[in-house]
Amino acid sequence: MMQKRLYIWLALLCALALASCDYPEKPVYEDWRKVTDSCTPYMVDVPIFHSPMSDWRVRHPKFLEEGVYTLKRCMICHESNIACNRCHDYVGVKRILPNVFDPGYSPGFIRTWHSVAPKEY
Amino acid sequence: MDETLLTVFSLTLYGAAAFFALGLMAWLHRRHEELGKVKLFTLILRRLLSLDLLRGHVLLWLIEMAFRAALVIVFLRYLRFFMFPVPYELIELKNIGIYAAHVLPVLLFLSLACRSLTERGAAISSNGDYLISLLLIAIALSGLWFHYDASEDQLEIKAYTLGLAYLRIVPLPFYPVFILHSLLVAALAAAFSALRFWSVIFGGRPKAGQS
Repeated sequence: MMQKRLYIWLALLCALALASCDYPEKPVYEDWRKVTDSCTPYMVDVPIFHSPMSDWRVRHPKFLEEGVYTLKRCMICHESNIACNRCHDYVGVKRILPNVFDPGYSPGFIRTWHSVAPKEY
Repeated sequence: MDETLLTVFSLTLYGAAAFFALGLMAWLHRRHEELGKVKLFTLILRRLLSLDLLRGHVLLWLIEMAFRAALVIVFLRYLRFFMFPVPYELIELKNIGIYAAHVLPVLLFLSLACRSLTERGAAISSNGDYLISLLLIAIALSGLWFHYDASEDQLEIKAYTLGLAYLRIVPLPFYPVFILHSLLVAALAAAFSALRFWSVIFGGRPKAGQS
C-alpha cells in the first residue's frame, strides 16, 4: 500500500515538474519584413505568390519537391536562417543550408521581386 | 477547433495514454511478483522477440519482426513532435522513416493474410490479434494520408503535441486527418492495454503464440 502511494506521489511530482517547465512557443513572425528584409521598402505584407500565407507555409515543401519553385529562387529574397530554419528547427525537419558557392546564390540580390505585387495583395 | 471539443480530444488522448501506462506498470508489477526479476526480464525478451510465435509459424514471425523494426523507426521519427529541441539524429531519420511508413501497411496486410489464410496462423491467432492488426492498418494508412495530403500545418500540430507533452492544451485548428490518426492511436493504446495487460491482471492468460 505504501509503495502504491509512493508511486502516485512520484507521478504527481513528475506531472507538476512538467507543467512548471517553460513551454517552447512556436516561432511567430511579428513583422514579415524581417523574413524578407531585403525587399523593403515597397514590400507588401504577403507577396502575391505566397498568398494566402498559411497555405504557402503548408505547401511549400511540395512546391519545392515538384520543382514549381527552386531553393535558389527562394534565396533571391530570403535568408535561410531567418525565413526557413526557425520553423524547421521547431518542427524538426532538415535545416536549409544554401550552397554559398553556387554562382546563383545571392540572398536579397534582386530586391524588387516582392515589391512588384500591387498593394491590395 | 472549438475549445470544448479540443479539451475533450486532449483528455481522450491523455486517458488512453494513462490507461496504457497504468496497464503496463500493473502488468510488470504483477509479473514481477509472480516470476521474480530475472524471469520477468526473460519473459519481456520472449515477448519482444515473439519466441512462441517463432515456434508456431516462422513466416508470420519474420513478417512480425520486420513490422516491429519498421514500427520502431516510425515511432522514433514521431518523437520529434514531442521534443524541443529535436536531436539531429531524429531529423536525419526522415527518409528512412518515410520508407518505413510505406512498408508498415504492406507488412500488416501480409501478417493479416498469414493469420487468416493459413490454418496454422488462424490456430495461433485470437480475435484480439485481428483487432490490433486492423487498428494498426488504419493508423498506418491515415499516417500516409497525412503525409500525402499535406494540407495540415505541421507548425500548429507541433505546437499542440508539444503542449500535450508539457501538460498544456494549446489551440489547434480543425485538422480532420490528424484528429483521426490521433484517435486511432488512442484506440490502439486502449485496446492493446486491455487485451495484453489488463486481461492478464484480471485473471485471463494470453493464448500461446500471441505476438
